[in-house]
Amino acid sequence: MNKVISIVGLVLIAAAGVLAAISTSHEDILKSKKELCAKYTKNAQAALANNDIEKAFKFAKLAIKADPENRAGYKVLAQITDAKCKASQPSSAKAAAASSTEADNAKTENKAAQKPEEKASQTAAQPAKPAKPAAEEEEEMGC
Amino acid sequence: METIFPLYTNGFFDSHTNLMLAVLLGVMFGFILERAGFATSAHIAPIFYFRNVMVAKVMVSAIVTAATLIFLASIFGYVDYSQLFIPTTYLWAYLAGGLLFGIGMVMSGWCPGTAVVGVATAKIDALFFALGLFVGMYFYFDIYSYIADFANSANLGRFTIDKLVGGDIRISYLITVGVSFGLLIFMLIMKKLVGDKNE
Repeated sequence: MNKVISIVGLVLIAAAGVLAAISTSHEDILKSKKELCAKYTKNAQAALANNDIEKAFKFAKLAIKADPENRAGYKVLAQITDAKCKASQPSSAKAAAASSTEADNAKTENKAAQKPEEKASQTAAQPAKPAKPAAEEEEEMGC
Repeated sequence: METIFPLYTNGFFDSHTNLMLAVLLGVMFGFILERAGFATSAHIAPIFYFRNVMVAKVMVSAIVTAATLIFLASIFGYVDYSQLFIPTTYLWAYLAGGLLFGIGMVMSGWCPGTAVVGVATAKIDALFFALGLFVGMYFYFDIYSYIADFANSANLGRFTIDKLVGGDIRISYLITVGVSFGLLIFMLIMKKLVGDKNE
């Protein structure tokens, strides 16, 4: 009796797997990759919300690896890089403020007037940049 | 946080918890091996003479069940197949090592995993096998500098069956199940043709 149950059980398990393999299509496999990428992206965003940059970076890379065609992973990677830059900016801003004089203040006022124009041109140029190079240059990105 | 297996590589618990879980799983694995009859060399060695196919039955059951679970979990997006640990394939070293492994297994009736189970259940031959295992490991590390080139040759990386079929895990799953059942049927036929005659 036990032997029969064991054989029937094994056949049922194998049958379930074979049926799943036959009934799934390539699109289903791609869909599962997208779902995996979405899960990794969600975990990366959750880690970023908790200020765990290292973990967020790891999940973002896994999201890109799971589905390289999906841009969500690259977007999260860009968010993480921005967060990393913002985290390192306060120390450099303080040093710049401490060393400036009145003449420097006048110069910076002129520069500040020019900055919005530069920022506008930069933001106009940014959407044109493809998302992929951001991922490829992740090692070189710095603030 | 979304659940993605493997849990440790996806940061669900730390390395300490991972080690504790490994110990627990090891105890469970040893218990199952012992209950399946792998704690006796008299049950393992006869497969090489086609007299007893218990080992083939247990192995095929385990392979088919595990492969099915991983495959189903993968297509439903719970398992990241690319994150599963698969050791690097060094073709020539694996062939030579596998041959040596097989010779040792036929002579002793043990493999390293079942030998640990045998030692735990106070089998004296398992103890001698385990001692031989450690002597062999020491000998290997001693001569490694001379055979390093051979040991690291033909590095095929993380080589899996789906790489042979264009990355389609469905086909690799079907091949796995087909080969497993084919092996079992082969062993059952050989048992009838050869094994029963030798008893």
